[in-house]
Formats: sequence, C-alpha cells, structure tokens
Amino acid sequence: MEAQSWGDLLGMWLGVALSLFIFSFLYKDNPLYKLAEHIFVGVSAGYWMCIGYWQVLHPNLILRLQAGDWRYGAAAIMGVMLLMRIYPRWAWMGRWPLAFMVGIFAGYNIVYTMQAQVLRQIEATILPLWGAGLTWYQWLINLIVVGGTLCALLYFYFSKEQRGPLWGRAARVGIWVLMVSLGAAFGYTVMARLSLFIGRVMYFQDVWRATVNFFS
Amino acid sequence: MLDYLANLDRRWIFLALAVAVIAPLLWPFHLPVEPSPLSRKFYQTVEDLPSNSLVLLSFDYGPGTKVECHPMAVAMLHHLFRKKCPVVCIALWPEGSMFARQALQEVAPQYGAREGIDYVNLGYKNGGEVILRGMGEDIRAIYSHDLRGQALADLPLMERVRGWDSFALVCDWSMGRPGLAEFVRVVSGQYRRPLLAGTSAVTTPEAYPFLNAGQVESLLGGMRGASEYEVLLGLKDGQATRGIDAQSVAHFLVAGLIILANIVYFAQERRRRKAEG
Repeated sequence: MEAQSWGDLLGMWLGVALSLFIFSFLYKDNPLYKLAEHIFVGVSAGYWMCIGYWQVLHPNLILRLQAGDWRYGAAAIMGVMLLMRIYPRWAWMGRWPLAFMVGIFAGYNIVYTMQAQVLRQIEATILPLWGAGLTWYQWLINLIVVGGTLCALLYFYFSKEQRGPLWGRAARVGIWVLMVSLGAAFGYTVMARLSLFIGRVMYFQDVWRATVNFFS
Repeated sequence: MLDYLANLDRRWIFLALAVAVIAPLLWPFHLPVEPSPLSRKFYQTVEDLPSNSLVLLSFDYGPGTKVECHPMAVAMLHHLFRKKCPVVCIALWPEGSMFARQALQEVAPQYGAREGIDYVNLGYKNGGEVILRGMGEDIRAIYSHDLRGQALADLPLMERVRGWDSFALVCDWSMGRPGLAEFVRVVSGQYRRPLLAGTSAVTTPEAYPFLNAGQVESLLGGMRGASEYEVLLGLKDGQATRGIDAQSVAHFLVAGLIILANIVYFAQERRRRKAEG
C-alpha cells in the first residue's frame, strides 16, 4: 500500500479512525461508535443504490428501451406493479409480478439444484461397507458418513416418538452428529472473525508504513 | 476465584484477544505452516495444467473477507502466470472487480503479463447464476466490454473464449451467495468443467459436501488455506502467511478460554451439588 498524495493519506487515516471508532463499542457504547455506524449505514445505502441503478436498471432496462426493444416495457410495468405494495389500496397489484418471479425462479433452479445439491449429495453418501479392497480406515470413514447421515435424518423424523433401544439411540447419535457439525461450523466462524480482526490490524500496519514512506 | 472467573468482565477477554493478535504481527515468530492434503491437491491441480491453458477466476468476495480470499487469488495468479496460463477474471460481487484489478496490477507486471493478451478482467455483472448460465450459451451476450471499456472483439485473448468449454479450469473465490453453490450447479453440474474453490472460513463448512461429492476438485479454506498455498508456491511475504502467527496464537487463546470456562462451569456445578447435600 502506497500513498501517492495527501488525499490518499487522508483516506487511509480515515479508514483507521473509523475502524477504531467501531472497535470502541467493545469497551462501551459511545458517540464515536454511533457516528461510524451512521456513516456506514448511509454510505452502504448510497453505494447499493448506485450499484442497483448502474449495474441493474440502466444496462438491463433503460439502455434496452432506448435501443427500441419494447419487450422490456413489460418488465418495467411489472417493476412498477411491484412497487405498488407501498399503497395498501393497490397492494394486490404487487402479487402478479411476485408470482411471476417465484414461478420463473422455481422453474429455472429446481432441476439443477436437485441435481447438484440433493441427488449428488445423496449419491456421495452411498458408500460400500464391505467388499474386497476396503481398508479398515476407509470402512470406518464410510461407516461414519453412512451412519451419521442416517442417524441425523432419523432425528428429524417427528412422526414417531424417539424412544426405544433402536430408534431412541439412533436419534441420540443423530444429535451428536449435529453437535459435531455445529462445533466445526463454530470453529470456522471463530477463525473467520479473527481473520477479520487480523486484517484490520494488518491494515493499520500498512497505513503506518505508507505514512512513514510518504514523509521520508 | 471461581466466582471471579465465572463473572469475569468480557472486556478482559477482548483485551487478551487484541494482545494475542497484535503482538505476533508486531514481533512475528514464523510458526511453521504444514500444507494439508487439500492444499496440496489444489496446488497439484493447477500445477498439472498444460502451459497456455485458459483459466477463469471469479472474484466473489467483499471487503469483509478480503484478508482471507484475496491472498489466495494473488497466490493463484502467481502460479498461473509462472506456468504461462492466460487468465479471464469475472466477479459476481460488485467489489470483486476492484479486487481482481488490484491482484492483477500487483502480480501481472512481475511476469510481464499483458492485459488483453495474457489476462482480461471482465468486471462485475449482476445476476449470479443467470450470468453463469448465460456465459455458457454466449459469453458475448453477457459481456460486451472488459472493465476498462475495451470491446471484447479488440481483446486477442477473448478470441479463444466461447463458453465454459473454453476453460481448462475454473476457480471461484467465494464468501457466500452468489458464489460457490452457483458455480457448482452451472460449471460443475451442467458443463462438467473442473472446479476449484477458495472460501472464507465461515463458508468453508458449506463447501465440504461439494468436495465430498467430487463436485469441487479441491478447496482452500480461510486464511490457513491461503497461507498453505503461499508456502507451497514458495512466496515470500505472502499476506496470509504474515497473519498466520496471529491467528495461531489467537486460536490457542480461544481454545484455552473454552477449556477454562468449562472447568469453571463444572466446578461451580459440583459446588452447588455439594451445598445441596
């Protein structure tokens, strides 16, 4: 990171100050934190509004209408109908484009989502538990995957009481499997949050170096 | 002591974590980084590409996970340019096109890679999965210009690009949606192209089922994955490796605090049961 001008340097230090304002909440709520929070909300809203206009509306609707492709007029009308939900009297108009969107997305996604995220995942849990060439380690891994999946699924079957030597124990194992997966997810989340903090501290270091280089 | 620990002001924990992160960054002690089998497979998949193979990188992350995903992207650009593999960059996240530009500006000059010939940055397109499917049918219907505004027809590298079949390898740097799930459905599921992924730590558990099912060739998870890849490439001063000491110390501290909290909890329970007779 290099500062080429006073403007660059000011921007960098503004980033440092706003980060520290946000971190100050860890001590207690204070006006500097509120200031940084409000700036963030305002800037985010403006940023996403610009992205929405220049990346979605302008290229996909306005430019096409300007080019004389009036088919997109139907999309514009449906967009306006969606906004009618603001007025309770005309809110019913919003249901039609919403129904259209739900129908399109369901049809568009259902086949590939089923293939990639349901069928392939089921296929990946159909593993051999006996047979030639199966080492004890592979057998153990396969047993954990097959048994863990079945037990976790049994836990989510609520039409039969989860009691008894077989059903009750299998559901209990299912809870353990879920606990282990939640523990792994928690560990990764801790790692991510720490990485975020590390990234900020590295940014402070880089700004400090850039400042020293700028004045030397 | 037990009551003091049970009611410890959490700001002491924040302070301890801050020290655990800041101290190793100020005084690094270079803990060894041992690449995992997954990182090795990721490295080997890129290494096995024939020279001049066309690769697509998708920068689907924002500032929140830049510290995790960006070092992976920079390291992979080093790897690809070393092997003289041309790169096409896209982004399904608005900030992704800026990160792609930053990474290319940092790495490309070191290998003499030229924009339009050795790499192209097509920038951000809104639409997620719709964009990916559209690229499979006709990439020119989706992208008419690159990020600089240069028409695709004027970019020599784009003559080689028709659809997903043009790419020998696709890699997605993903921190959420749109991201890896969309790539799995379209690139791996529909077009059967080899897919690699680098994910932020939060999204890594969601990526493992794809890996287990063979839909993703290999995976780099979080800052640790990025650091392992940097080590395999022999990159000096890698951004992820720079932060890995701090992460290791902070993880030890968090693990220690969890153990301590459990000891305090069970000791209190035991005391309560004794008091109740």
